[in-house]
Amino acid sequence: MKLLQRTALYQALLAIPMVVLGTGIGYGLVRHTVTQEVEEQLENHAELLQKQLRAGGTIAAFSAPDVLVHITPGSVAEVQFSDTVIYNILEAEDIPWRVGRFRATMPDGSTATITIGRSQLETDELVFGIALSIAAVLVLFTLCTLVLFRWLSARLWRPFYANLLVMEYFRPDGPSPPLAGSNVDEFRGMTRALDDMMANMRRDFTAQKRFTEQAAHELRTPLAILRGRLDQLIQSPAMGEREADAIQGMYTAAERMGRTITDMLLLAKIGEGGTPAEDVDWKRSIREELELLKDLIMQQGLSVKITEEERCGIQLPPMQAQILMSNLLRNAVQHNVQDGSITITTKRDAITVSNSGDALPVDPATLFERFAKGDPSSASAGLGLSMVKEIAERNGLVAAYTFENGMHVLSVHKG
Amino acid sequence: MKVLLIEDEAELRRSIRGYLQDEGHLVESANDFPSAMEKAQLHAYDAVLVDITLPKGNGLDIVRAMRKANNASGIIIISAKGSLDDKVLGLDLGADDYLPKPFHLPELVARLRALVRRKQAAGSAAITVGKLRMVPEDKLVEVDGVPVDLTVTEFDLLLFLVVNKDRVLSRSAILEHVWGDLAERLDRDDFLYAHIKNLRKKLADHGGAELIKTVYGIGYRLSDRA
Repeated sequence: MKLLQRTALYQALLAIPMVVLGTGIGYGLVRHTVTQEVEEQLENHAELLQKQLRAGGTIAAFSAPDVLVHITPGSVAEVQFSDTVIYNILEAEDIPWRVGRFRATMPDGSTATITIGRSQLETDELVFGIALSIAAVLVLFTLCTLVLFRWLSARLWRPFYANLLVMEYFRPDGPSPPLAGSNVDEFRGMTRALDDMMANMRRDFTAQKRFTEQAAHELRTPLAILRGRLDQLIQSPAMGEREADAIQGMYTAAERMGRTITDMLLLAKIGEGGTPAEDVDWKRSIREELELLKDLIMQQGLSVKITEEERCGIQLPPMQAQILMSNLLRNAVQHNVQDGSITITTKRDAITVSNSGDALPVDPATLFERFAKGDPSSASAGLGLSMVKEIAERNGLVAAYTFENGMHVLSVHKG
Repeated sequence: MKVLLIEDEAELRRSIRGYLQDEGHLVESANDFPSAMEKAQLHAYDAVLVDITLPKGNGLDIVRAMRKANNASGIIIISAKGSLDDKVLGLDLGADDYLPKPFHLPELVARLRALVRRKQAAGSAAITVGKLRMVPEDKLVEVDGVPVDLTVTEFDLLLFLVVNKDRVLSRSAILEHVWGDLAERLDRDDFLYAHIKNLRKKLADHGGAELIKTVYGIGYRLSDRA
């Protein structure tokens, strides 16, 4: 749920008891005031009657639709008010009355009780009307506040949402729109912090890229010289067996070094990040890499099976997808046996490459480490699978290895 | 062929120039940006080899300037930066090829040959070594006028030997040319030997038995001489 929606929801939930409580308090206050008013009227009436009685007049019991008076012998200690319900024949319904009992002295000196009642029908209606008005005003007020607050929040949070959008699309190697300014201190602080962070990331990215390129240049140039010299040297007709052997050794060493440099730079490049992940046509990628490996597969007499159980939806930056697939398949070819097999299986969120081969002479846990090799004398630098792992981890995936029934199983899947 | 070599690394310049001169090319060289720019603009070359990282400038600017001046020379960028961006940009600017360092000199020769073939012969130009005749564009191989049926790999292999005829080619140069960076995965000696054996046999069947010679411990050489 969005922040603004959630805020509005909480406000609405809070407003409901407030409106109920507000209406209740309003009703109670009005009711109280009206009751007091009625009692005062009853008292005034009683006082008038008491005076008339003292003056020697007689008062008959009196009953009208909204007033009731009668005098009974006997006395009450003090003034009493009570509510009662009387059936009204005219209206054919029960009607609430407020009734007061007052003490009176008759002309003959005996005490009596004057009972005066007033119909509450109209006052009740009035009170309900007022309470309803209060409720209506409160509801209206609350609604207005909610709408206004929603609008204000949206306005107030605008720099936040603008910055969020910028951050979502931020790439250290690409341009990005400026962050939103604001006159709110917190947002200004956030913008400043984000600006610093983005600038740092850009600087680091550029520095790393520059370093990688310079390192590449500095390492490859001497290697190019070495190779060029060797290529010239072997043209010499006066070469004996010993010289040839030495030269072959140098070629092999130079090649091995070149490969290690290439792999290290690739690894550094993967670490740079910067390119967004996208959908990959894995089926095609597998076919293309197998095509490159065709000669090797034929030489070893390997049988290759591709099983597409589901279309694979793993997303990667295009270059990394290619490196991943190429390393997985090359690994499967390289560590295979004569007339062995390779099985490639794709599921919606997993790619599995399994190949026949002898059990690993090293701890499987070290397999994905940099410079880990199954065979220490191998000319490969052992960076292939660490690249697979690096790519997987960079993209929230898991690279796993198991050895089952004489098959090495390497898989890359969603974590 | 007249070649301009733009390379700031003296040792590399020397070995490339030496190798190309031995091939019979005329090589002029420049070691920094201003002199390279001057030579590229003043003289006509069949091919220009240009390094990207140069003192006082960027090799890509030379490519840009040459193409802007409608200079039709073949251009091969040789760079140690290994940056994909540079490669894409270089080719966009009008370079004909991009060869990452470190490369084998026979590879450079092969690229130069291919480039000049593309530039000069509108149709198909044949390369002949003794009784062997190859037309790369048509994927055609003949010995004494009789076509030889080769696989794609064998054709690549033979063409590489042919354009570098009379030169000793190391196994590592051949493997890298034919199988690219896969070369590292190959059980090298066996693998290459198997392919050479097949190729030799096919050529021998057509009377070209002695063309491919083994240079002990190093590699192979194609020659119609003894």
